[in-house]
Amino acid sequence: MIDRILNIDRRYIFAVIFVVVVWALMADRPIQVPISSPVQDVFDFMERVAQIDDHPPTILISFDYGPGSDAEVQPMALALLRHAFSKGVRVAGMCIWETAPGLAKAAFETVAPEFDKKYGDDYVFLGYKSGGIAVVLNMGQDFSLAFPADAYGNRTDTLATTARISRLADFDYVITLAAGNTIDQLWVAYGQDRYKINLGGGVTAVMAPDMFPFLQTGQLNGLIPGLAGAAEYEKLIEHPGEATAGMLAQSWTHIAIVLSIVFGNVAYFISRRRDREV
Amino acid sequence: MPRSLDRWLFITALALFTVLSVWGVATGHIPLGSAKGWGTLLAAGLTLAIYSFLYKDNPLFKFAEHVFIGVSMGYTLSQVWFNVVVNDVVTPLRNWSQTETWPLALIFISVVMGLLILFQISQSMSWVSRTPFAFVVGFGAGVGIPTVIAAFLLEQMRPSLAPLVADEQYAVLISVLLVGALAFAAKTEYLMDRSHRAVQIAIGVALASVVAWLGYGGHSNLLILVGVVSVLVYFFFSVEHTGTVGAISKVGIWFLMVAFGASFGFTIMARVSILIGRMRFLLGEWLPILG
Repeated sequence: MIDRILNIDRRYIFAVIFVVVVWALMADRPIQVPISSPVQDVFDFMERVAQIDDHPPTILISFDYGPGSDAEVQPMALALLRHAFSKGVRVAGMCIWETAPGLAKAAFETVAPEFDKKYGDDYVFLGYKSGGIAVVLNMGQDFSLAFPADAYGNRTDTLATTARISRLADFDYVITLAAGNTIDQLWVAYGQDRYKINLGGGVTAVMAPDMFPFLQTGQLNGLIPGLAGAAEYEKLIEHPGEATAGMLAQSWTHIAIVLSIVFGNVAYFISRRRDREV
Repeated sequence: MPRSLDRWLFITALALFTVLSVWGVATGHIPLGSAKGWGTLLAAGLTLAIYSFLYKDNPLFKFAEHVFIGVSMGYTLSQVWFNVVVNDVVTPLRNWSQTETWPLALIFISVVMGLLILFQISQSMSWVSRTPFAFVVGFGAGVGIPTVIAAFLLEQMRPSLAPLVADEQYAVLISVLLVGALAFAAKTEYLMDRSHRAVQIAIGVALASVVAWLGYGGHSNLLILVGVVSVLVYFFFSVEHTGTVGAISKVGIWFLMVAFGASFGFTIMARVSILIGRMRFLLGEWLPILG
């Protein structure tokens, strides 16, 4: 019996996880989402940016992810845009990843009509730019040289959102939504450290543990980690969305996985004791 | 698994997909009059084809995998072409009379350097590509080395050297207790001897409790100090890991294990999030089940 448990066909585990996720999604019950301090910090800083009155507050969101991390990071993008637009903060979007423009456009096209925001006056999409480090360095020195035109060919110095921006540090807040190492290898190293920008981040859960040291040093002033982080931000802006809807499934799946780990370990120790006795 | 069973499973899955898709279309949930409806059907089919790998490797999975790679490459190429080549090179060169001299010169130099890299494919002329490669390596090293040292080494050292000011008396007391416990354990070789497993577990639980209390109580500077020192000692291989060094390195292993556990937990969370995203798509956009 113990040997059968230890050598269980992994497809049974997949089936259990599938059933748990489907059940939890269909149950659709509200779940408490406690707010963690890194997520609260992003929210608070955005609120502070919104109170700037000597110039129109403008933030930059770098969409550095692709369809593979759409489920985790896109809800963050939607929540951040909702927060910014609801407070009258202008937003410029750009992509360091070539797979991101479609997702970034979709985020703007979803949220902008909700707040009756106009392209150019309230937000700008700069599109994808290859080069990584060179792009960030270029933006740090001369924004219009890095992005002379937006994704649709309009000159950035003629658009209200970017007309005031002459270099990266002119943005009141830079937020990078990352599914890869662009957040630390590009934005922390070359953006924050070199040009002293106010940098926040939203990352996939896999990357989150590697980002906490940057929170401690202050190189990142806030962090939205994974789907749970996105759900926290949705709670802060009082606009529950896809992330909040997934939290019950997330919690029950974690319980199922923890139980299977405990179960497997108990079976392992029993079998080891039995083998020793033999 | 017999092949006939696989064949039946394949036919059943295909029939089920067709029936469910027809259901979605019949209820008006999937509008076939728009590209979005066809896109939803295609995305649902490809998602299920990819997940079929969980059963076993099969031709449907291979097909979806190859489609994904092809589409990714095509999409990437189109993005680079329109956003970089057309926007940054073709348009300024075409409107050369309106572009300033210096940006035009930079574009020209960049294009020439980029074209020189293509000589890499020629055996006799590959030496030509060394110049742009040398430029890339030189630029990368020059920009990267000081930045990495400043951003990752010096900045990270600062909070690791933070003073234990907050609740000083507790910090000192706990430090003395920890060092005393470790020294005792090391001297009596409790931590190294396998026959004292119960004592080792007790010390482990006690230390874990202290660590949890320190973290919960916001005494993170002391926690960082203990963690950094013990992990560094663990990676210090010039001295044999016995006695006090062995005991401290054992604490370092525990810290590493906690870090690996946190990393593994976050990884599970990420993978489950992706599964939830796909299931929400299948149940909400493909099938009219979720509201």
